[in-house]
Amino acid sequence: MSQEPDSSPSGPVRMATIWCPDWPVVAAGCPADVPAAVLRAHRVVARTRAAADEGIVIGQRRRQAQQRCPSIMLLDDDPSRDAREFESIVRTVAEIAPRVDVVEPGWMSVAARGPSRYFGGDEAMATHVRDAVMGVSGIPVGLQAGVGVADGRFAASVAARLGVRRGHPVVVAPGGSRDFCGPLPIGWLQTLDEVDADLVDLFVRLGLRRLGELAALDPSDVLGRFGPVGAHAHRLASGTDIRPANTVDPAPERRLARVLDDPAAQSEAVVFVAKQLADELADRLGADGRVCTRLVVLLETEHGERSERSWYRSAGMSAAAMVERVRWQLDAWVNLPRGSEHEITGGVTLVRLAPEEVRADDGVQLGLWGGQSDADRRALRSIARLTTLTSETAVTVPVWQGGRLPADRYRWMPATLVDLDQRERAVSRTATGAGIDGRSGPWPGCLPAPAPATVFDEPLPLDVLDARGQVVRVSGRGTMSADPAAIRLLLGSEAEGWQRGPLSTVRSWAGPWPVDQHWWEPTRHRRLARFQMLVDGDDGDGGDDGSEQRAHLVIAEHQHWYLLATYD
Amino acid sequence: MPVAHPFDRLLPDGLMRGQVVSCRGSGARSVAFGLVSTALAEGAWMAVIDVPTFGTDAAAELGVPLERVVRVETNAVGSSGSGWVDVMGAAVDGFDLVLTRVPAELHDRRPAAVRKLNSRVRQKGAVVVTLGTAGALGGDIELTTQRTSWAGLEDGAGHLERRVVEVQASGRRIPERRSCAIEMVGAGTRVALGVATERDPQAELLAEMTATTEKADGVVVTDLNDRRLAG
Repeated sequence: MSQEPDSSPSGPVRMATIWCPDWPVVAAGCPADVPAAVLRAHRVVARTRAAADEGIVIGQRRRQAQQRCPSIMLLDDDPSRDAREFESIVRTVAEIAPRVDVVEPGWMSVAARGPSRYFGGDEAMATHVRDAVMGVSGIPVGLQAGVGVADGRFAASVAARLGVRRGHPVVVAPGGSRDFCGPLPIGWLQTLDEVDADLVDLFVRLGLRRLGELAALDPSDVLGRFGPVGAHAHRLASGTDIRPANTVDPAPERRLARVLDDPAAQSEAVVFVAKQLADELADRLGADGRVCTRLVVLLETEHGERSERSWYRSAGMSAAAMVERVRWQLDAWVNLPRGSEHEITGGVTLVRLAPEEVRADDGVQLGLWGGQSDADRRALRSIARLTTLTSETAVTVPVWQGGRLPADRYRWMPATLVDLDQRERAVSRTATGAGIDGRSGPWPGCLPAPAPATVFDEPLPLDVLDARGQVVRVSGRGTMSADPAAIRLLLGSEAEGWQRGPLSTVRSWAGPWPVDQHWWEPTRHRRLARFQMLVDGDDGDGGDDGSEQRAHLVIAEHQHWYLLATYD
Repeated sequence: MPVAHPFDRLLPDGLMRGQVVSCRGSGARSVAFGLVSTALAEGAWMAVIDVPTFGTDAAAELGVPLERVVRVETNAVGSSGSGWVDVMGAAVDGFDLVLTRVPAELHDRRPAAVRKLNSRVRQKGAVVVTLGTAGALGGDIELTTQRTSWAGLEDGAGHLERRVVEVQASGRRIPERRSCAIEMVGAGTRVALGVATERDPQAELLAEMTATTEKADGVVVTDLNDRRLAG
């Protein structure tokens, strides 16, 4: 990949960007006239046009989205599906222009100079690319595409997004990027993931509302006040999206390749090799104080089929981000329709990661994930290892979801589906979203602290008896037939008949606290009453004097009693 | 690795890398969560292996940062069947803390694989915390809870809010048994840890008074919300 376009040293490279808005819903196959949205961590990341008309906006919470549009179809986020479906578009564009950098599924950029000359101008090229993308067969309905051509990636990406709104490609004349960016709101820096929200917020509070206002400042003042991140923002705002002069593209020796003696027939094995390479690459670059922004991944099978993709990320890629991209590429390749060119027919024998573009790691990265400690890196490596040892679904991390019952409050997501680099932010954000004092937040009616330390996946059935040995009943209005006096666990299973465990006396209790939730959704409707009970310990695990008392969380639902959790 | 306040009375040197600590008794989990919270808050990671009943909320309340907790189930559906020992071996490589339950078949037996695992724990400097007996791992320190007493529940009223657990530390690394009564009080979204003082009638009265006022507020709020939900 040495065909670096001979950009004049004074100006940024001319780029064309193709942007498919709301790609995740398109990839999920939702027609534009059905209100649907894709959620990541309980926030809307993409929605159809029909949903947008109903008032669904990106970043909205699940609950608000349902409130605005009760009939909305909510879909789970699946990055590999997005990447898989995007493959056909990447291929189409790659036939027109040779140098395609995929930023993320739904967003790619190409060097515009060559294709423009071939098609007779930027306008003609952009229209041709747009028609080609819109004409891709087998793409789900509802696809929109915007094409923008400008000097520099940033201006081109902005132009592509404006192109979607305007319905035709937006071409910024050579040298016009600065004037083009000038009147735009400064929030574009955040929209395109170039700087974080805090800095944009700070700019706005300082009165810099437009990119032009930032560009009008003296670059050295901006650097002095905001550091390298600010200087980067200033460069983008000025339309000089050129890499800083102190970066040199890596020598070919930097490419890391691994030839597999035994062709790997399973994608997990390939990803595992890629993980090792990515770790090594990130280490080597990190030792020089560099970070890779454009990575070319080459995969080759024993039968000689190749898949080569170039991935771009302006913030730089960590080892985990590189592996994620290898995974996307592999997924897309494996799922190619039968009979297409370069279809995979054998095991993978070669994995190569080539950093094509690096830059000094000047703190943008630090701003993004606050510096990864050695413990973080070791743990992330170990998670990958554990995943290969067991299975993807066996290695999980908690994600806040909220609820009134202990088992509902956190969902355990496969660790491979969660970006662990950014987790610290994600978890703390939800924590603050719940209010300083969790109970005054969005979950009224959940039990106050302390929470039970043992929460059973499957509630254990039990009998709650009154003083006369009759099962206590709880009415729909939350009145009880008698005070509970003893509990008895039911062992075994429903099929074999329940076996009654030993009786334990209830010392004190509280409740009932009724819950009637999801009554609007028959399949998820639950109506139950919660109790806390303090009973005499029945299993002598460590308790030597027999005075051990155990506290349980017990529920009554549909005239049956269940042990939900234990405070231990 | 450092430990949170009341636990430093039991383990003055903190958690020593390479050791196996077992938590037993009726308050074992909360003690284990409290024990690891400070080390986790300072940036360590914890793997939770084969504890499907992990009380996420309780851990968060005791100060465990959940973003550095990873759960592994060795017998989950679709897993490739590597045993507990293999998974533990991989986990101690990368995690500073490993919370686990020793499988029942390893309570009495001590196969060579487990001995290898033990030396790996020492070599990598991880701390293994077991819930229940350490079994084949041969615990260095044992924390046993005794005489748990709860406060806050009455017949049909109140809610669990406070407990005092007497924790005793013993084991081959501790020359003499130490014990300490640890108080856990629910406050907002946290559980505060403290050393339970000797019976002090005045303080008790004061605590009772504040508890009653708090409780009164709490009951009213919960009640209203529940009514609304039920209606």
